[in-house]
Amino acid sequence: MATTSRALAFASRWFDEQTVRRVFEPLVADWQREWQEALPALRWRVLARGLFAFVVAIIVSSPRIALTPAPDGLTNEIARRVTRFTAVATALLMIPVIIELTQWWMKDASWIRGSLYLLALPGAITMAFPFAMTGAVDVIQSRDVLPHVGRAALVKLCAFAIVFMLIYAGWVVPSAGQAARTAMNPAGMSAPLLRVEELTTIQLMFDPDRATVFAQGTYSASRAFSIRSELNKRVVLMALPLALLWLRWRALSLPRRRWIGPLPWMTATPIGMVAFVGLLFVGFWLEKEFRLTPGIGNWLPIAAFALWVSVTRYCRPFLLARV
Amino acid sequence: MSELPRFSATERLIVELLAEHEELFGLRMVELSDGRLKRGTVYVTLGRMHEKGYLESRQEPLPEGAIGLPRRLYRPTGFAMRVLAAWRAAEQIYVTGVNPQEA
Repeated sequence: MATTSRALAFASRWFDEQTVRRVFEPLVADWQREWQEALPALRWRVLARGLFAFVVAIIVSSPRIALTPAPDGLTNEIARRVTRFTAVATALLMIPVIIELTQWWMKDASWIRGSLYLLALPGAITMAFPFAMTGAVDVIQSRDVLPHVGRAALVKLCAFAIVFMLIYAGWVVPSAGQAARTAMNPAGMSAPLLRVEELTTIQLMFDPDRATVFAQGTYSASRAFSIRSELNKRVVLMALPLALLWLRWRALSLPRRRWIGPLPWMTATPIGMVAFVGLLFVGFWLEKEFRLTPGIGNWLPIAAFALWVSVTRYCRPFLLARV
Repeated sequence: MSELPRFSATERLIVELLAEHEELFGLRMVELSDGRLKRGTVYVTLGRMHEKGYLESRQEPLPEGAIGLPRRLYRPTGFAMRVLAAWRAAEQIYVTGVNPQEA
């Protein structure tokens, strides 16, 4: 029964030997025997029930993944690479902002400019951080560790990335936006008008009336459309590091040869960044051109990355067999 | 005096079933429990009880013609039986106010 063997192989990749022996092997053994003893017409039911039980067992046992200790120094090495990459990429992403602020923005108010540079930083960090995941996966894969240990490190990295993006994209960047608006307001003026981009996720969900400026002149000018679009953007930003982690992990896990294999992370990361930005613009264009559901265009890069994973999964072995 | 080891309701049910039937495999326990044990969680509980020293297990030899993994049969340890007996006695004292050992 191929399904049970695949299920056991899956559990072996994610859990330690003891959990596999004590939880998953007895589950699969009972499942296999039940399937063999069932009438052929009823085997689909045994298969479905066993699969459900297996999924529940995976969920119930999943805290064990978090308890799997990382090998010595791995966490530090990942942290170093993520920090270095994020710092360099943030500096590069800040160049256009610095040029714009220096040349065009508030020429006569240099004291304001300093704070604006600072307030533009969180936005750049939010864009740079997800792409640091590619290099982080390479650190895990370069270590000769047991499959479940590597995957546990990956899961913890995923959890960290989600929390980081949740805080940064949902709170730090909008708060910096609000502060920037206030900084730009001449002294004595009333509170500045806010765009939906400048509301924190909590404000956006529970107090969206604070935003009074929408994308005027576009089809998405209505309040509901703007809010929905902004929320979609934030969810996509949260999903982006996960998509990149998965993409790189799959790329490195597949069989390879000299000319058919994943690019080095230093090359793959800028390509990923360019692909993301390009696809995001295509998504916006498609959304506007075909009047699609607001915010759906944000999802095009994630969908394209998922498609790329599937394509390489099936095409690379095919290419390796031919070459 | 050390504390009486704790049993969760599921753990107790498993030990009671095993005390009654001597040796069972996971799926059979689910069948015998009248829906109180769930197939998705019973193996996790059995693994945990194994770690706590409540259960011991062995692999059942594969019958002729059968393929796949051999089933795992569980039986309670002496420790589990003593804990069960202690809890039963404690319950009886709580309900009736009479210690069965003194009666």
